[in-house]
Amino acid sequence: MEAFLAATEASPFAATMRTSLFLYPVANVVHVLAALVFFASVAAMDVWVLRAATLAEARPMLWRVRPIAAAALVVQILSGIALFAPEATHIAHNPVFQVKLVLIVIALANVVVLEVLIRRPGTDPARRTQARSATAISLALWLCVAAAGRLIAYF
Amino acid sequence: MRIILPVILAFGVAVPAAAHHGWGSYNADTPMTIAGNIETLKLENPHGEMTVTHEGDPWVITLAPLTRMNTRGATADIVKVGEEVAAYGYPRRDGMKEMRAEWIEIGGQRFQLR
Repeated sequence: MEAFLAATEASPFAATMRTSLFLYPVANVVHVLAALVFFASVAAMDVWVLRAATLAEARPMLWRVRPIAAAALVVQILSGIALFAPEATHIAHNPVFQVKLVLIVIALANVVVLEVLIRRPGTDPARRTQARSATAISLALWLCVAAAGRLIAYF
Repeated sequence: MRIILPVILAFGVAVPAAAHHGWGSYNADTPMTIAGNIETLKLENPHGEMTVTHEGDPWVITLAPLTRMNTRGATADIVKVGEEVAAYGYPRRDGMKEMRAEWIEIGGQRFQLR
């Protein structure tokens, strides 16, 4: 792990991120903007599931918004790598960064749970309750991810 | 998921936290001035740093991000290895020999870095 982090930091890409005047601030801004788009689309989907009378009713809107969330997530990951690489060792040892990674893994697992609940045919009311809980968890988790992200600079 | 979580957690326990920090990690109640020649220098993002010997020990002096260094006039043709510098700032609260510079002075010119 340490060797991997050191190699990441020593890579030409990381060096470019450090020495370029604008790449780092641009990656920083892109990361924040993608976070806004991501959370906006996630919140739209979550609120839709919370308000829909049945899961079947929520599906068409979810399928429409989901590509936006997915695209924003990809931009987040790429800009995140760009911010991580120049200081890989430092950041990987940052306790808040580790918390953020764990939260992301849990939030993505929650996405899988929601996906399974929503895709399953039928109108079982218990499943709707489970899906509503998962969306509430989703809203809380992604906000915590954003908070942890912002706090990395202070630990 | 079952594998990633313990790996991340174990990693967190095994490695002591050595981090990157906001102004709050530095003690503004004990400002200090370090004067000497710039021994090593990195003008880079997310912030630059240089080392200067102070009372026999090499001190890391944390500078501003590249764009701010440039807008304040502290460019690479002024801030150079070997130059005589006076840096005023705040030492880390945890006792490590690192200072966050409020300003640096080179050749009679003062550059505010906050």
